[in-house]
Amino acid sequence: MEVSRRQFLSIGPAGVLGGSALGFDLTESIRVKQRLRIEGATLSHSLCPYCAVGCSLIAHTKKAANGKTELLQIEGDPDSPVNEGTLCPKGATSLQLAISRRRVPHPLYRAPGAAEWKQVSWEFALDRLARNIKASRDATFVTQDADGNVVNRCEGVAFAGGAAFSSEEGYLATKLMRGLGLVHLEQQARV
Amino acid sequence: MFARDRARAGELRERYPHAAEVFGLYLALVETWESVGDRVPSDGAVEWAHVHVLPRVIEATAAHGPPLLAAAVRIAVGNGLLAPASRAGPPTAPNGPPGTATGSGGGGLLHAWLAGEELTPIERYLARATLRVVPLATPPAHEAGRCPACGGAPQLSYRTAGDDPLVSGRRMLQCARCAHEWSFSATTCPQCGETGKRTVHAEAATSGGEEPRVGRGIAAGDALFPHLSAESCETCRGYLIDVDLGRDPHAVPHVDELAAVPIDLHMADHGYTKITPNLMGF
Ligand code: SF4
Repeated sequence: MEVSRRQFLSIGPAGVLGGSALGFDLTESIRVKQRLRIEGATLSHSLCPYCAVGCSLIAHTKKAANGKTELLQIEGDPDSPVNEGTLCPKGATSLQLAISRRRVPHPLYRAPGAAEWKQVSWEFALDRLARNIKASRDATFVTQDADGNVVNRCEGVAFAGGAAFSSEEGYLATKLMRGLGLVHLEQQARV
Repeated sequence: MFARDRARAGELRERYPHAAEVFGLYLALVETWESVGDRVPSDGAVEWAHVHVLPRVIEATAAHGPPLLAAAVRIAVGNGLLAPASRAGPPTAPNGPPGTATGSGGGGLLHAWLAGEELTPIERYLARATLRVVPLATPPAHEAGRCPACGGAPQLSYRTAGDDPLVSGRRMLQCARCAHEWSFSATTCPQCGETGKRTVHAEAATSGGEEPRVGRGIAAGDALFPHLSAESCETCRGYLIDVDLGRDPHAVPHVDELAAVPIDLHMADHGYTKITPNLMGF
């Protein structure tokens, strides 16, 4: 077989060496490829909503067959000068803030003295909350302090806001609670 | 110097029968590289490699390469096309089309690869296998995504392992030309610099109702390549194989990358092109 140097060096994927550029047998690799279920996930930047450190996250998402975007995983962003890929245990579970199979999707109620939780409607739960808040407020509302100053405050109820509150949610919660006369307000919102 | 490469290639040859031929040749090349060991001179190393390493690479390829490649190399040697004694000089293009290694007669192959010229797969393979033992003294480049030591293109990407599972390791790139490693943004394309359109292609679970686990952390239970994935850019359609040392701390990135042939084939099917083919042409 006479080949010139140029011809020899030009042998490529479509040349005499077959499927691989250097003539490796790809039969088995093709079989393996057909067995693999490879998913593609898009990477996006995000920020942990839990605390003031503000760690950077990388979110892995994919478009589901129904057109919805599914969140697959969240990890620390190694490029961030703030957290350099690190997340605290809370931030590392931030995926569950968005999706969790163990999330309780309906209100549960355990009556005083009962041992079991039972599923109740939202109407029941909200009505019960409203009644309890009113009862506590009525019982502990203070109109004047010890020096006779008008204070109109509720000392028997406190409010704790979640870290994942947005600014708007925090504003709304504060307005509502101040409206009820609450003075004990704590808020961990950082976003 | 190549003990880890040898051990890992031997292990992967057993684990991945589809890549047995690739690792068989790789192990033969490791023997060759070890045989020249620390005899590489500091001056004129490229010319030295052409005379002392290239013939051994050819020998190893003829003995352990896939049959067609081995035959092609034997024929070429028989016809004097890769004469070991050919002088390795910079490409001057007297005999062939300009811009190809053949343009420099028999000796310009290594310099052509170093100059980033367009080479055929076999030229590339021979040059890379020969230069694996040669410390390169090319001027550093400052182009984003290129090797800061020699300006070469990245061959692969890997994530460093951390002691803590809550820490995502840094993304490192390894140069195809001089094997230098450097830290690079995890969400930027090294080829075109695009920052917002990275996609990771990884095996999803196929049993037990598991969710696909394409990020870091624990891999899908039945994954064949738990520590390997492909990272592509939707703008330039380029990709690199990524080796996650967090999932397999024993991996040797440039060896493990050779096992990813089925992932490479999957990527080719979907219209992606690897930024640089690896030593074995994948
Ligand atoms: S990961 Fe932890 S430390 Fe970082 S912002 Fe979230 S809660 Fe704060």
